[in-house]
Amino acid sequence: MTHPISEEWTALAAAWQSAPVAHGLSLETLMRRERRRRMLMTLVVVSEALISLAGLAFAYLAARRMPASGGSILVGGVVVYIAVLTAFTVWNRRGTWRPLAETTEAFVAISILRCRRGLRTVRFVIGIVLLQLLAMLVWTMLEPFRVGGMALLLSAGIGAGFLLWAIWYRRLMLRQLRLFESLVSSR
Amino acid sequence: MVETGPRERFARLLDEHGPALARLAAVYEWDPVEREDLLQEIGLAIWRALPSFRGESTERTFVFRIAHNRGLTHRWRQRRRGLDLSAAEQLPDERSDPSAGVAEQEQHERLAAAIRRLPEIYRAAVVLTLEGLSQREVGDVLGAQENAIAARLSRARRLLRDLLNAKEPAS
Repeated sequence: MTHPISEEWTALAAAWQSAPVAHGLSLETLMRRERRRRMLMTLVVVSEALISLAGLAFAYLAARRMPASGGSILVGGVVVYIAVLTAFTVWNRRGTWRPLAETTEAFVAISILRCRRGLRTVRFVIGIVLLQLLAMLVWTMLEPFRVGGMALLLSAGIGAGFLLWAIWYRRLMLRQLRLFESLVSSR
Repeated sequence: MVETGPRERFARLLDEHGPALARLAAVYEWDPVEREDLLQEIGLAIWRALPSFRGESTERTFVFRIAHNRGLTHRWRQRRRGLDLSAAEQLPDERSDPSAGVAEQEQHERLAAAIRRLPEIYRAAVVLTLEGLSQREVGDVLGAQENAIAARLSRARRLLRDLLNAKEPAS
Protein backbone atom coordinates (compact mmCIF):
# COMPACT_ATOMS: atom_id res chain seq x y z
CA MET A 1 0.00 0.00 0.00
CA THR A 2 1.39 3.40 -0.92
CA HIS A 3 1.91 5.76 1.97
CA PRO A 4 -0.43 8.76 1.54
CA ILE A 5 2.42 11.25 1.65
CA SER A 6 4.13 9.43 -1.21
CA GLU A 7 1.03 9.81 -3.35
CA GLU A 8 1.03 13.54 -2.76
CA TRP A 9 4.66 13.78 -3.69
CA THR A 10 4.07 11.68 -6.79
CA ALA A 11 1.35 14.08 -7.94
CA LEU A 12 3.52 17.09 -7.21
CA ALA A 13 6.48 15.50 -8.98
CA ALA A 14 4.34 14.96 -12.06
CA ALA A 15 3.34 18.64 -12.02
CA TRP A 16 6.95 19.68 -11.37
CA GLN A 17 8.42 17.70 -14.25
CA SER A 18 5.55 18.21 -16.66
CA ALA A 19 6.68 21.56 -18.01
CA PRO A 20 9.94 21.00 -19.86
CA VAL A 21 12.47 23.77 -19.47
CA ALA A 22 15.07 24.44 -22.14
CA HIS A 23 18.37 24.38 -20.31
CA GLY A 24 20.64 25.82 -22.98
CA LEU A 25 23.78 24.27 -21.54
CA SER A 26 26.47 23.57 -24.08
CA LEU A 27 30.02 22.38 -23.68
CA GLU A 28 31.44 25.12 -25.92
CA THR A 29 29.81 27.91 -23.93
CA LEU A 30 30.98 26.46 -20.65
CA MET A 31 34.55 26.04 -21.93
CA ARG A 32 34.62 29.72 -22.93
CA ARG A 33 33.40 30.65 -19.47
CA GLU A 34 36.08 28.47 -17.89
CA ARG A 35 38.79 30.19 -19.92
CA ARG A 36 37.53 33.61 -18.81
CA ARG A 37 37.52 32.48 -15.17
CA ARG A 38 41.11 31.26 -15.39
CA MET A 39 42.23 34.49 -17.00
CA LEU A 40 40.59 36.45 -14.21
CA MET A 41 42.26 34.33 -11.51
CA THR A 42 45.64 34.77 -13.20
CA LEU A 43 45.04 38.50 -13.31
CA VAL A 44 44.29 38.58 -9.57
CA VAL A 45 47.47 36.67 -8.67
CA VAL A 46 49.61 38.84 -10.94
CA SER A 47 48.04 42.02 -9.52
CA GLU A 48 48.79 40.94 -5.95
CA ALA A 49 52.41 40.25 -6.87
CA LEU A 50 52.72 43.60 -8.65
CA ILE A 51 51.27 45.48 -5.68
CA SER A 52 53.79 43.83 -3.37
CA LEU A 53 56.63 44.71 -5.74
CA ALA A 54 55.32 48.28 -6.02
CA GLY A 55 55.32 48.55 -2.23
CA LEU A 56 58.93 47.38 -2.09
CA ALA A 57 59.97 49.72 -4.88
CA PHE A 58 58.29 52.68 -3.16
CA ALA A 59 60.00 51.84 0.11
CA TYR A 60 63.37 51.60 -1.65
CA LEU A 61 62.93 54.98 -3.35
CA ALA A 62 61.82 56.60 -0.09
CA ALA A 63 64.74 55.01 1.76
CA ARG A 64 67.23 56.59 -0.64
CA ARG A 65 66.13 60.02 0.58
CA MET A 66 66.68 59.15 4.22
CA PRO A 67 69.74 58.58 6.41
CA ALA A 68 71.20 55.13 5.84
CA SER A 69 69.93 53.69 9.11
CA GLY A 70 66.44 55.06 8.64
CA GLY A 71 66.31 53.80 5.07
CA SER A 72 67.35 50.31 6.11
CA ILE A 73 64.67 50.23 8.77
CA LEU A 74 62.05 51.38 6.27
CA VAL A 75 62.93 48.78 3.65
CA GLY A 76 63.31 46.08 6.27
CA GLY A 77 59.97 47.05 7.76
CA VAL A 78 58.19 46.80 4.41
CA VAL A 79 59.75 43.40 3.72
CA VAL A 80 58.65 42.14 7.13
CA TYR A 81 55.19 43.68 6.59
CA ILE A 82 54.71 41.86 3.27
CA ALA A 83 56.10 38.62 4.69
CA VAL A 84 53.73 38.76 7.68
CA LEU A 85 50.73 39.51 5.42
CA THR A 86 51.60 36.62 3.12
CA ALA A 87 52.19 34.20 5.99
CA PHE A 88 48.92 35.15 7.65
CA THR A 89 46.99 34.76 4.38
CA VAL A 90 48.39 31.27 3.78
CA TRP A 91 47.80 30.23 7.40
CA ASN A 92 44.29 31.65 7.55
CA ARG A 93 43.20 29.87 4.37
CA ARG A 94 44.14 26.39 5.63
CA GLY A 95 41.24 23.96 5.41
CA THR A 96 38.89 26.41 3.75
CA TRP A 97 39.15 24.95 0.28
CA ARG A 98 35.59 24.21 -0.77
CA PRO A 99 35.21 20.98 -2.72
CA LEU A 100 32.44 21.31 -5.24
CA ALA A 101 30.91 17.88 -4.87
CA GLU A 102 30.70 17.64 -1.09
CA THR A 103 27.35 17.16 0.57
CA THR A 104 25.41 20.34 1.20
CA GLU A 105 26.00 19.89 4.92
CA ALA A 106 29.79 19.81 4.42
CA PHE A 107 29.57 22.74 2.02
CA VAL A 108 27.70 24.81 4.62
CA ALA A 109 30.20 23.82 7.33
CA ILE A 110 33.14 24.99 5.22
CA SER A 111 31.28 28.17 4.32
CA ILE A 112 30.84 28.89 8.04
CA LEU A 113 34.55 28.26 8.57
CA ARG A 114 35.42 30.68 5.76
CA CYS A 115 33.26 33.36 7.40
CA ARG A 116 34.99 32.90 10.74
CA ARG A 117 38.38 33.07 9.07
CA GLY A 118 37.21 36.23 7.35
CA LEU A 119 36.40 37.75 10.72
CA ARG A 120 39.84 36.70 11.90
CA THR A 121 41.28 38.56 8.91
CA VAL A 122 39.44 41.70 10.05
CA ARG A 123 40.98 41.46 13.53
CA PHE A 124 44.39 40.90 11.97
CA VAL A 125 44.08 43.93 9.70
CA ILE A 126 43.00 46.16 12.58
CA GLY A 127 45.98 44.93 14.58
CA ILE A 128 48.37 45.61 11.71
CA VAL A 129 46.99 49.11 11.20
CA LEU A 130 47.39 49.93 14.90
CA LEU A 131 50.96 48.59 14.84
CA GLN A 132 51.69 50.64 11.76
CA LEU A 133 50.36 53.82 13.39
CA LEU A 134 52.40 53.11 16.50
CA ALA A 135 55.52 52.56 14.40
CA MET A 136 54.99 55.86 12.59
CA LEU A 137 54.47 57.69 15.90
CA VAL A 138 57.69 56.25 17.32
CA TRP A 139 59.46 57.05 14.10
CA THR A 140 58.47 60.69 14.23
CA MET A 141 59.97 61.01 17.70
CA LEU A 142 63.33 59.37 17.03
CA GLU A 143 65.63 61.92 15.42
CA PRO A 144 67.84 59.69 13.28
CA PHE A 145 64.86 58.11 11.56
CA ARG A 146 62.48 61.00 11.40
CA VAL A 147 60.10 60.81 8.46
CA GLY A 148 58.58 63.63 6.48
CA GLY A 149 55.01 64.83 6.58
CA MET A 150 54.18 63.18 3.27
CA ALA A 151 55.17 59.76 4.55
CA LEU A 152 53.05 60.28 7.66
CA LEU A 153 50.07 61.38 5.60
CA LEU A 154 50.44 58.41 3.28
CA SER A 155 50.69 56.02 6.18
CA ALA A 156 47.62 57.54 7.85
CA GLY A 157 45.71 57.40 4.58
CA ILE A 158 46.56 53.75 3.99
CA GLY A 159 45.62 52.92 7.57
CA ALA A 160 42.28 54.68 7.23
CA GLY A 161 41.63 52.83 3.98
CA PHE A 162 42.31 49.48 5.61
CA LEU A 163 40.05 50.36 8.54
CA LEU A 164 37.17 51.26 6.23
CA TRP A 165 37.67 48.01 4.35
CA ALA A 166 37.72 46.11 7.67
CA ILE A 167 34.38 47.61 8.70
CA TRP A 168 32.77 46.73 5.35
CA TYR A 169 34.25 43.23 5.23
CA ARG A 170 33.19 42.45 8.82
CA ARG A 171 29.58 43.34 7.99
CA LEU A 172 29.75 41.14 4.90
CA MET A 173 31.16 38.17 6.80
CA LEU A 174 28.63 38.50 9.63
CA ARG A 175 25.74 38.58 7.13
CA GLN A 176 27.05 35.50 5.34
CA LEU A 177 27.68 33.73 8.64
CA ARG A 178 24.10 34.36 9.78
CA LEU A 179 22.78 32.92 6.52
CA PHE A 180 24.78 29.73 6.69
CA GLU A 181 24.26 29.27 10.44
CA SER A 182 20.51 29.55 9.89
CA LEU A 183 20.74 26.53 7.60
CA VAL A 184 22.39 24.55 10.37
CA SER A 185 20.04 25.66 13.14
CA SER A 186 16.95 24.79 11.09
CA ARG A 187 17.57 21.05 11.26
CA MET B 1 27.49 5.07 -26.93
CA VAL B 2 31.10 4.60 -25.82
CA GLU B 3 32.52 7.53 -23.91
CA THR B 4 35.97 8.31 -25.15
CA GLY B 5 36.86 11.05 -22.70
CA PRO B 6 35.75 13.58 -20.09
CA ARG B 7 34.09 15.82 -22.66
CA GLU B 8 31.87 13.01 -23.89
CA ARG B 9 31.02 12.06 -20.32
CA PHE B 10 30.22 15.65 -19.47
CA ALA B 11 28.06 16.04 -22.58
CA ARG B 12 26.12 12.94 -21.56
CA LEU B 13 25.59 14.32 -18.06
CA LEU B 14 24.23 17.54 -19.51
CA ASP B 15 21.87 15.60 -21.76
CA GLU B 16 20.60 13.46 -18.92
CA HIS B 17 20.33 16.07 -16.20
CA GLY B 18 20.08 19.38 -18.04
CA PRO B 19 16.31 19.79 -17.69
CA ALA B 20 16.44 18.85 -13.99
CA LEU B 21 19.24 21.37 -13.43
CA ALA B 22 17.23 24.05 -15.20
CA ARG B 23 14.22 23.35 -12.94
CA LEU B 24 16.46 23.46 -9.89
CA ALA B 25 18.00 26.77 -11.00
CA ALA B 26 14.47 28.17 -11.29
CA VAL B 27 14.03 27.55 -7.56
CA TYR B 28 17.13 29.52 -6.65
CA GLU B 29 16.65 32.36 -9.15
CA TRP B 30 13.45 33.77 -10.58
CA ASP B 31 14.99 36.27 -13.01
CA PRO B 32 15.50 34.50 -16.38
CA VAL B 33 18.80 36.24 -17.15
CA GLU B 34 20.28 35.58 -13.70
CA ARG B 35 18.91 32.05 -13.84
CA GLU B 36 20.76 31.39 -17.07
CA ASP B 37 23.93 32.66 -15.43
CA LEU B 38 23.38 30.38 -12.42
CA LEU B 39 22.78 27.44 -14.72
CA GLN B 40 26.05 28.12 -16.51
CA GLU B 41 27.81 28.29 -13.14
CA ILE B 42 26.33 24.94 -12.17
CA GLY B 43 27.42 23.40 -15.46
CA LEU B 44 30.92 24.76 -15.04
CA ALA B 45 31.14 23.52 -11.45
CA ILE B 46 30.16 20.02 -12.60
CA TRP B 47 32.84 20.13 -15.30
CA ARG B 48 35.50 21.17 -12.76
CA ALA B 49 34.46 18.52 -10.24
CA LEU B 50 34.20 15.68 -12.77
CA PRO B 51 37.88 14.62 -12.66
CA SER B 52 37.58 14.01 -8.91
CA PHE B 53 34.46 11.86 -9.22
CA ARG B 54 35.39 8.24 -8.49
CA GLY B 55 31.92 6.70 -8.30
CA GLU B 56 31.54 7.09 -4.53
CA SER B 57 27.94 8.05 -5.20
CA THR B 58 25.62 7.89 -8.18
CA GLU B 59 26.14 10.41 -10.95
CA ARG B 60 22.74 11.89 -10.17
CA THR B 61 23.70 12.47 -6.52
CA PHE B 62 27.02 13.95 -7.62
CA VAL B 63 25.36 16.37 -10.04
CA PHE B 64 22.68 17.49 -7.61
CA ARG B 65 25.15 18.08 -4.78
CA ILE B 66 27.07 20.48 -6.94
CA ALA B 67 23.93 22.16 -8.20
CA HIS B 68 22.57 22.78 -4.72
CA ASN B 69 25.88 24.07 -3.41
CA ARG B 70 26.02 26.55 -6.28
CA GLY B 71 22.42 27.48 -5.62
CA LEU B 72 23.22 28.26 -1.99
CA THR B 73 26.17 30.42 -3.02
CA HIS B 74 23.94 32.21 -5.50
CA ARG B 75 21.31 32.93 -2.85
CA TRP B 76 23.96 34.39 -0.56
CA ARG B 77 25.21 36.66 -3.35
CA GLN B 78 21.65 37.87 -3.94
CA ARG B 79 21.26 38.79 -0.29
CA ARG B 80 24.64 40.48 -0.27
CA ARG B 81 23.48 42.63 -3.17
CA GLY B 82 20.31 43.40 -1.23
CA LEU B 83 18.04 42.12 -3.98
CA ASP B 84 14.34 41.85 -3.25
CA LEU B 85 13.76 38.13 -3.21
CA SER B 86 10.09 38.38 -2.24
CA ALA B 87 9.17 39.94 -5.59
CA ALA B 88 10.19 36.79 -7.40
CA GLU B 89 7.23 34.57 -6.76
CA GLN B 90 4.61 36.37 -8.82
CA LEU B 91 6.46 36.66 -12.09
CA PRO B 92 6.01 34.12 -14.89
CA ASP B 93 8.97 32.50 -16.54
CA GLU B 94 9.41 34.34 -19.83
CA ARG B 95 11.95 31.85 -21.08
CA SER B 96 9.84 28.74 -20.67
CA ASP B 97 9.69 26.26 -23.48
CA PRO B 98 7.03 27.64 -25.88
CA SER B 99 6.02 24.18 -27.00
CA ALA B 100 4.77 23.23 -23.49
CA GLY B 101 1.07 23.40 -22.62
CA VAL B 102 0.03 26.66 -21.02
CA ALA B 103 -1.84 25.01 -18.14
CA GLU B 104 1.11 22.75 -17.35
CA GLN B 105 3.46 25.70 -17.45
CA GLU B 106 1.29 27.74 -15.12
CA GLN B 107 0.99 24.85 -12.70
CA HIS B 108 4.75 24.42 -12.76
CA GLU B 109 5.38 28.12 -12.19
CA ARG B 110 2.92 28.22 -9.31
CA LEU B 111 4.67 25.26 -7.72
CA ALA B 112 8.11 26.82 -8.31
CA ALA B 113 6.98 30.09 -6.73
CA ALA B 114 5.68 28.22 -3.69
CA ILE B 115 8.92 26.27 -3.34
CA ARG B 116 10.93 29.51 -3.48
CA ARG B 117 9.03 30.70 -0.44
CA LEU B 118 9.94 27.65 1.61
CA PRO B 119 12.74 27.97 4.18
CA GLU B 120 16.12 27.02 2.74
CA ILE B 121 16.34 23.87 4.82
CA TYR B 122 13.15 22.45 3.27
CA ARG B 123 13.58 23.75 -0.24
CA ALA B 124 16.47 21.50 -1.18
CA ALA B 125 14.78 18.35 0.13
CA VAL B 126 11.55 19.20 -1.72
CA VAL B 127 13.20 19.88 -5.06
CA LEU B 128 15.28 16.73 -4.94
CA THR B 129 12.21 14.68 -4.06
CA LEU B 130 10.27 16.22 -6.94
CA GLU B 131 13.11 15.24 -9.26
CA GLY B 132 12.53 11.63 -8.28
CA LEU B 133 15.34 11.04 -5.80
CA SER B 134 14.66 8.61 -2.97
CA GLN B 135 14.94 9.82 0.62
CA ARG B 136 18.26 8.02 0.89
CA GLU B 137 19.56 9.81 -2.21
CA VAL B 138 18.28 13.12 -0.87
CA GLY B 139 20.15 12.39 2.35
CA ASP B 140 23.31 11.62 0.34
CA VAL B 141 23.09 14.98 -1.37
CA LEU B 142 22.37 17.01 1.73
CA GLY B 143 24.48 15.03 4.18
CA ALA B 144 21.54 14.16 6.43
CA GLN B 145 20.02 10.96 7.76
CA GLU B 146 17.03 9.43 6.02
CA ASN B 147 14.70 9.98 8.98
CA ALA B 148 15.72 13.64 9.15
CA ILE B 149 14.85 13.98 5.47
CA ALA B 150 11.48 12.32 6.10
CA ALA B 151 10.75 14.81 8.88
CA ARG B 152 11.71 17.76 6.69
CA LEU B 153 9.53 16.52 3.85
CA SER B 154 6.60 16.03 6.15
CA ARG B 155 6.88 19.59 7.43
CA ALA B 156 7.58 20.95 3.96
CA ARG B 157 4.52 19.24 2.55
CA ARG B 158 2.27 21.06 5.06
CA LEU B 159 3.91 24.39 4.26
CA LEU B 160 3.61 23.80 0.53
CA ARG B 161 -0.03 22.88 0.85
CA ASP B 162 -0.70 26.18 2.62
CA LEU B 163 1.27 28.15 0.06
CA LEU B 164 -0.45 26.50 -2.90
CA ASN B 165 -3.82 27.15 -1.29
CA ALA B 166 -2.76 30.80 -0.90
CA LYS B 167 -2.86 30.71 2.90
CA GLU B 168 -0.18 31.96 5.30
CA PRO B 169 2.02 28.99 6.24
CA ALA B 170 1.62 27.74 9.80
CA SER B 171 4.65 28.57 11.95
